[in-house]
Amino acid sequence: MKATISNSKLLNSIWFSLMLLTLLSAYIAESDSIGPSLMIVVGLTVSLKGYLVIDYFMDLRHAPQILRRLIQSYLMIIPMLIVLVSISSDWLRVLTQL
Amino acid sequence: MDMPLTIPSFAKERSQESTKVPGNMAVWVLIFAELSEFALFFILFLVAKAHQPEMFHEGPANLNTTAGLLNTLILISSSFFIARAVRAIRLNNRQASLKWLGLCLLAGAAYCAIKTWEYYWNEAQGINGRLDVFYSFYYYLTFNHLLHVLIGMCTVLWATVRAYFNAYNADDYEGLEAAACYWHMIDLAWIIIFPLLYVLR
Repeated sequence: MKATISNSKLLNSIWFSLMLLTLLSAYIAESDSIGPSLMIVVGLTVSLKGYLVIDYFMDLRHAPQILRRLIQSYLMIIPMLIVLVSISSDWLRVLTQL
Repeated sequence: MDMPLTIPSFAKERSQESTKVPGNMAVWVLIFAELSEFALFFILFLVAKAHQPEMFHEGPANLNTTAGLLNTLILISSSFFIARAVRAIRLNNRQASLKWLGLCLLAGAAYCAIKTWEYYWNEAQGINGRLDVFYSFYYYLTFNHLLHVLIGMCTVLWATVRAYFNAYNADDYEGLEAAACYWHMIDLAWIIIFPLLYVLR
């Protein structure tokens, strides 16, 4: 029973952390122009939020690791790409020039 | 005296647990298909942004960030509610599970209401999908996500009705867990969409 209570408490604190991380991103969004360091913070926030949802809400900690790693990579690669393009998009423009 | 018996059985239980797929494989095929679709949209968005950096810098400034933020908070909370619903059914607490499922559906409805308000607000500001490429992407991504929320709500509603009629218990809750995983995927997609459209310029 003790383990059960702590598990519910764990979910509560994960929820609270996710809310705080979202408010942090929104606070950053208020700035008129965001520098590269803040963009990286936003990107890392997305990956961290993804990690918390995947491991604790979806409960993939106890799933086959391939499944967990695949979905975790998604939540790392996509935000990383978004931040890279937000900092400098020249490389992607050159790559996709017709 | 029970210890020698308890430890191996606990270890066995843990090792079985460590290979368990939450929900079922079918829902994971669907989840990866949906995530691939979203990934394609994200990449196309970034390519368009690379070719029109000024348009994609101006665009987010005119969007309703409050609506985007509220919907992010609501979707994260809904994910938390459904995680608690699964937790409750694992403990055979059907009443608590139904309460959390109800809260999840309520949060889904609140998301749809805020999204509707946001679209009306956009119209009032003269924003529509034909304005430029950024807004076309904005409507395509957000409306597509809204459709996923509606499909997710139907799935959660079905799981709620089944839970109401005692279809789930601590030994069998695969359907509920599958619906929860699908719902979390919708949350994950929005976790990326919010900074992509509203925050990073």
